[in-house]
Amino acid sequence: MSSKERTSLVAKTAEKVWSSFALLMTAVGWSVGSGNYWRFSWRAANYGGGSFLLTYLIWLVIVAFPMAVAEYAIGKLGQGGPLHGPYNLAERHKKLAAFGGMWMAWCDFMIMCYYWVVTGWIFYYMLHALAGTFFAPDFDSASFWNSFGFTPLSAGIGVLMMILSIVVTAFGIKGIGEVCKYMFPPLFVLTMILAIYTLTLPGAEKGLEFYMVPRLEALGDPATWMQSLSQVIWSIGIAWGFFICAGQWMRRNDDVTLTAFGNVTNDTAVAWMAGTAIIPLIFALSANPYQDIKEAGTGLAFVVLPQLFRKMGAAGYVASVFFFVAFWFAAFTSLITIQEIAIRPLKDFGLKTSHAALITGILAIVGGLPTAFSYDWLDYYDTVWGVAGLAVGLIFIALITSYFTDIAKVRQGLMDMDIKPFIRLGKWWDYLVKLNIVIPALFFGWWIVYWEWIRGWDSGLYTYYTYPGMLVLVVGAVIIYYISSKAIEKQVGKG
Amino acid sequence: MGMAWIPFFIVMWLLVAAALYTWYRAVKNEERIRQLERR
Repeated sequence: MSSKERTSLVAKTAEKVWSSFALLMTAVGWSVGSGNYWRFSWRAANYGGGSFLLTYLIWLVIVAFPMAVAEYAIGKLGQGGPLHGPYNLAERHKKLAAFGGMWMAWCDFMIMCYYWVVTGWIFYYMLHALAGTFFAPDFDSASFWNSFGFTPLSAGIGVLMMILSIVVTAFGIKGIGEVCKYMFPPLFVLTMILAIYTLTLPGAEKGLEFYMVPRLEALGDPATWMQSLSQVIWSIGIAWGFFICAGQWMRRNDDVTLTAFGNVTNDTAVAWMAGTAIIPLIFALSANPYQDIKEAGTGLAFVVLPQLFRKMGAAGYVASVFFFVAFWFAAFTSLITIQEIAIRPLKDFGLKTSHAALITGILAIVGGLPTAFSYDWLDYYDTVWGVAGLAVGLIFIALITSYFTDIAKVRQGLMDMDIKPFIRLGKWWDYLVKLNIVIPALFFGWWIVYWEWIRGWDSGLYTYYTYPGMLVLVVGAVIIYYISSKAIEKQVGKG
Repeated sequence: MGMAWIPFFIVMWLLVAAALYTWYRAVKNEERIRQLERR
């Protein structure tokens, strides 16, 4: 093996992108999934409303845009997936860089363990939207959700979703960009229509007041900042390893800044419009909206959306069918892509696609079962991997692009195109990326200290968040480090 | 009834417009890339 080959691993699963628009829609289709409707409204309503939204916008500028660009850079310039991309791009600490990429793929897998549960909920609602259940005279959306969420039926439907995902990924997902190109625009427009409709309802302004006006006391609560930071990373899908894979698909003239800006704006636009459809509606319909929000918990979108469609009358049936079909599609395509990332390192190790799909799928079903039956477990998984795990991944992206290699070279590599970049990256980008080495650690640390030692956890599994959660992450890290080092040694030899 | 939500409301609609603008830019970029490839 020549020395050039030794320092630059060529991944086995490289493919090039088809067109800029298809690339943007695939990237945006990745970002927009269940997180925009289910997780955003749940978190925004429970963690400060307008204050959540304000901190969310701040994170978009400081974290989301620069870090999405940095993650794309790993794939585009490193020419590889989560294992090979960071290894190739890094000039020093190459093994640690490969571990960072594998960490992201691991978090992606652990999130998949509860993502199939949520995809199952959406599928069930889609079937009921088609059957017109929400329009029966005695339909009560809260009891409908309570008799379904976290039951064997919802778990069974979730497992079915995971099996479908195994089948699709086993055959390869080449056509997904073409499908996203036709599915995302209608979903965007439909969400906009729903938001505008809610705004016309009497009483909706009270909800806007809660949703759109930042309150000082919520801004002083670290939970608001931490939850909005985690939502930004989770929803846009940074540090899951996807942007590394997508970066590898790009041609030299595909503009990373346009795609990253598209991810940030489209994802936030859909999440905000969905929140505008959901949160003010609760205030328009309910006498006690704050209590309703608390009681609905993670099921907020599922309790509120059917009420919205009912209000719309005959047009509501058509809207509900279109909405849930598109919503399920968004979630299911995200599930497939999440699995694609999880199997990617296994494929790079030499495993057959179908075997890798089966192994990750079965492990995700077994690993995710607790979350299918308990809200506490779902919240626990979501906090350990969806919050802490992704925060660590973010630190790795920043380290790989700014500390393990020369960031000015990375920036020049991204700007080396024959077309004018959408946003010209300057030194400001270098500083923002470097800032992201400390931001996640700082905010996660503050959040843990605040809840563990100052305020005390509320209830449920929260008491298990800190130490057992960290233990799980550390044990996982050791295993992942061992696997990624072995894989690298096998392919390039020691040293 | 306060009107404090209005400024933020406008900012968010601008963000929606920016999102739609990226679609247009992606199409324009592709035209340019194809043009360059043909040369």
